[in-house]
Amino acid sequence: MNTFGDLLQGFAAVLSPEAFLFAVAGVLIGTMVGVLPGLSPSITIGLLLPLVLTFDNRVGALIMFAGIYAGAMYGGSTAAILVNTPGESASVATSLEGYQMARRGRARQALATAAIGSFVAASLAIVALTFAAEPLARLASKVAPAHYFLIMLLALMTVTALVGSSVVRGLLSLVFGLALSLVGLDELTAVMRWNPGVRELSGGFEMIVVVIGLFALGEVLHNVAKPAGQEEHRVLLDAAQPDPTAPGPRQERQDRPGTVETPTGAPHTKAVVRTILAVAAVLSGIPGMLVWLVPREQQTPAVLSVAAGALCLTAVLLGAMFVLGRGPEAWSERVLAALAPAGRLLGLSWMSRQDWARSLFPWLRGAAFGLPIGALPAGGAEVPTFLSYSFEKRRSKHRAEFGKGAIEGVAGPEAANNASFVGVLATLLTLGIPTSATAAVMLGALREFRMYPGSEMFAQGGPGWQVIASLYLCNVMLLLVNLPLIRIWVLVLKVPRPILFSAIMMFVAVAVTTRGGVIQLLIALAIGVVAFFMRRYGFPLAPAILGFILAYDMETHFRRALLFGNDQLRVFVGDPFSVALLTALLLAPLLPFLPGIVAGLRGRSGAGKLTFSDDD
Amino acid sequence: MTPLTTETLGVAVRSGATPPARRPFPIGTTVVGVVLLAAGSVLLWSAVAAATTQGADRSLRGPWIAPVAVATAWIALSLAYLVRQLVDWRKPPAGGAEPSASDGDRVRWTALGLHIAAITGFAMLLKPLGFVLAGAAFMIVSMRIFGSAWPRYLLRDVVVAVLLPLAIYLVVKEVLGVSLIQGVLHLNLRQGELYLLPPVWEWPW
Repeated sequence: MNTFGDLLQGFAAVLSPEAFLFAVAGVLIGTMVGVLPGLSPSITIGLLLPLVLTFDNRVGALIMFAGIYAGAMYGGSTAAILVNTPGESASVATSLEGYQMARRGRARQALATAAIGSFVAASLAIVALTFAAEPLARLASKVAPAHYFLIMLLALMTVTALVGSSVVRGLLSLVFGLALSLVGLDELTAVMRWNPGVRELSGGFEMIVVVIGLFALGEVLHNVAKPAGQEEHRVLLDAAQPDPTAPGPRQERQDRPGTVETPTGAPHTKAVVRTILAVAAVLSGIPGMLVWLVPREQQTPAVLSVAAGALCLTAVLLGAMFVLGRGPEAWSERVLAALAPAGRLLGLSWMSRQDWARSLFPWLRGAAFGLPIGALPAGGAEVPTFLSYSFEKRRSKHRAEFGKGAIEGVAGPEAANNASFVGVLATLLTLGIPTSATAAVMLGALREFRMYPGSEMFAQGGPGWQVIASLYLCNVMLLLVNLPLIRIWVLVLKVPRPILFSAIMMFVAVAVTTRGGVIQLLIALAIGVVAFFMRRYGFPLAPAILGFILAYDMETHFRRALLFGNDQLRVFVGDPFSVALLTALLLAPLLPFLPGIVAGLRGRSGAGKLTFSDDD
Repeated sequence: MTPLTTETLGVAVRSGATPPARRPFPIGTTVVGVVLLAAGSVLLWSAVAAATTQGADRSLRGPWIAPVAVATAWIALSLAYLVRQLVDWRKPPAGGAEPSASDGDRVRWTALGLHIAAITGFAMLLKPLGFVLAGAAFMIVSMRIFGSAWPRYLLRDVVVAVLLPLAIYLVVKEVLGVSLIQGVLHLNLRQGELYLLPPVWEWPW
C-alpha cells in the first residue's frame, strides 16, 4: 500500500470537472445551511439523498456530502459573528467573542480569523487523516464481531449519555430508534417482526423517511409552534458602523513604518505576505514532491498531471516570494498590487499583523483539540470548541479583552470546530462508527450507495481516497467562497421564517415522495409529530437516529458473534478487551456526572452536568 | 413580616405561617410517561406473542431476541422516566433537581395543529393536483400559519408560492431526471407542452 500514490489517484479522480462541480455544490449548500439557524447538515443530507441516489457518480455524491458537512461547519460562524445566532451548536463558542468583535466594528476581522483558522485547522486535520485512515481501516477489519458489537454499543451509550439533559430521556430516545429499525421483515430469517398493519412498512421504515421525519419535519413543526416575532436580527457586518452600545473601547489600529495600507485599511507588511506565500508554496508543493515516492505502476498520466500542476503553482508562488524579498522595489510593489485583490477577496488583508500574530497559535491549538475529540463518540464539535475557548481565555495575554471581543476567542474555537469535523469523518470512514447525527445520516447514505466503511474503502484506488482528496479540495474552496460571498450569506440570513420553512416543506415533499409515494410523506409526518414532542419534552433526537441506523449492523455482529461462540453469551466476556469494553459500557452513563465527580475528588462542589446539544 | 421569597420559604414552611409553594403537577410529562409505558407494553406483548406463535427460531440468534430486548428496555426506561418525574415533582423547587420538561413553555398549539392539517391536506392533494399546484396551495397556507403578515406580504407570498414549486419541479424533472407527481398540470419544457388534465382522486394508501 502506498498512501501517497492512493492519495494522488484520489486527486486525479476528484479534479475531474464532474467531481469538481459536486464539491462546489456541496460547499455552497453547506455554507448556506450553516448560516441558516434551524437547518443542519443532517437535514440537508437527508433531503438531498433521494435525489443523488439517481446519479451514476456515487463518489461524487459522497464528495458533495463531505462538502456540505464542511461548509456547514464554516457557515455556522457567519451567523454567530454577525447576528449572535449560531447556525450550528458548534459555533456557540465562536459567538461569545465573535459577536462582541462585530459590535466593536471588527466583524471583518472576526470573520477572517474564523475562515482562515478553519482552513488551517482543517488542512492539518486532513493531513493527519490521510496518514491515519488506512492503518485504522486495516485495524477495523481485524476486530472480532463480539468486539464490534460492544464498540457500537459503547458509541451509542456514550452519545446517549452526553446529549440532552437526562440520561433516561437519551436512553428512551435510543430505544425508540432501535424499535423503529425492528419494524418489518427480518432480512436474515425472513420473519415479519413488528408491523403496525401498513403494507408500505413490511420492508421496514425507509432511512430517508425517518431522517426527514425526525430532523426536517420535527424542525418545521418546532418552529411553527414557536411564538412569532423572535427572528429579527441586526446584521453587524460593516466596520464603519460599530454598535454604539458595544462595551469597551474600539481597538486602535497599530500602523507601523514600512507597512502597506490596503484599500480595506488593514496594514500589511511584506513579511506577512511572504509568509502566506511560503505556506501556500509548501502546501502546493507537497503533491508534486510526493510523486517521487509513488511506485512506478501507480504513476498514471492523471497522477503525473496533478503533480505537475502542483509543481507549477509552487514555482509561481516561490517566484512571487523571491520578488517580494530581493527583487527591485518597483517589481515588489507590482506583485503586492497584483496580490491585493486576492487578499481582499479572501479576507487575508482584513486582519492586521497583530491579528495574525494573536490568531496563529490559537488556530494550531484548536486543531489539536478538535481532531482527536471529534473522533470520539459524542465528542462532536461542541466539546473541543469550548475546551479551546476556555484554554485560550486562561492563557491569553489579553485576558481582559475576553467577553469584549478577543480575537483568540474566535480563532481557537473555529479551528477546533473544523478539525473536529475531520475527526468525525475519520471514525466514520475507517471504523464505520458514526459519532454525531450527521455522521449517522452519512453512514446511512454510504449504505444506500453500497459502500462499506473500513479496509475496502481504503484499498488501492478505493473511494475513501477520493473522499480524502475531496476534503482538501473542499477546504480550499471554502476559503475561496466563504468571505468573497459574505454579502450573499448575509442575504440568506435575512430570508423570512415563513418562506424558509415552507420552502423546506417543498424539499421534504420531493425527497419523501420520490422514495415511495405520498404515503411516505404521511409516515414522515407521523415521525415528525413524535419528534416535535420529543423536542418539547427534552428527548434528544441524535440517539434515535444513531440507534435506527446502527441497529442493523449491531444485530448482525451480535448474531455473528454468537455463531462463532456456539450460541454462548460468554463470547462477549471471553477476553480482556471485551471486559474492558463492557466496563466502559457500564461506566458510560456516569459521563455526564464526571465534572461533579472530579470536583468532589478535589474537594469542591457545585460542578454542573456535562451535556451537549445534539444538532450537529 | 418577612416577605415570602425562595430564601425565606423554608422558614415559612417550618413555622406553618404560609402554605408551602409546590410545583404544579407535571401533567404533560406524566402523560408522556404513561403513553411510553403503554407503547412499550404493546411492543413487548406483540413481540412475545409473535415469538410463541410463529414458531421461528427462538435461540439467541433468532429474530425475536432483539424485539423482546428492546421492548423490555423500553418498559424499564419508561418506568424510570415516570418515577423520576413524580419524584422531581415532590422535591422542593430549589432542590437542584434535574430540569423538568418544558411544560411551561409557550406553544402555539393552534398553529401547530393547522400546520399538521395543512401537511396532511398537501399529501392528499398531491396525487390529484400534482406537485406544482398542491405545493403552491400548501405554501400559501403554510406561510400564513407561520405568521406572514397579510395583506402586507400577500403578494410576496403568492409569487414565492407559485414560483418555488414550479422551479423545483422543473429542476428536479428536467435537470436531474427525477419525475415528480404531475397531477392535472402537464408541463413538458422540451416539447413546449402546457395543459390541464382532468383530476383523478386517489387515496394515498
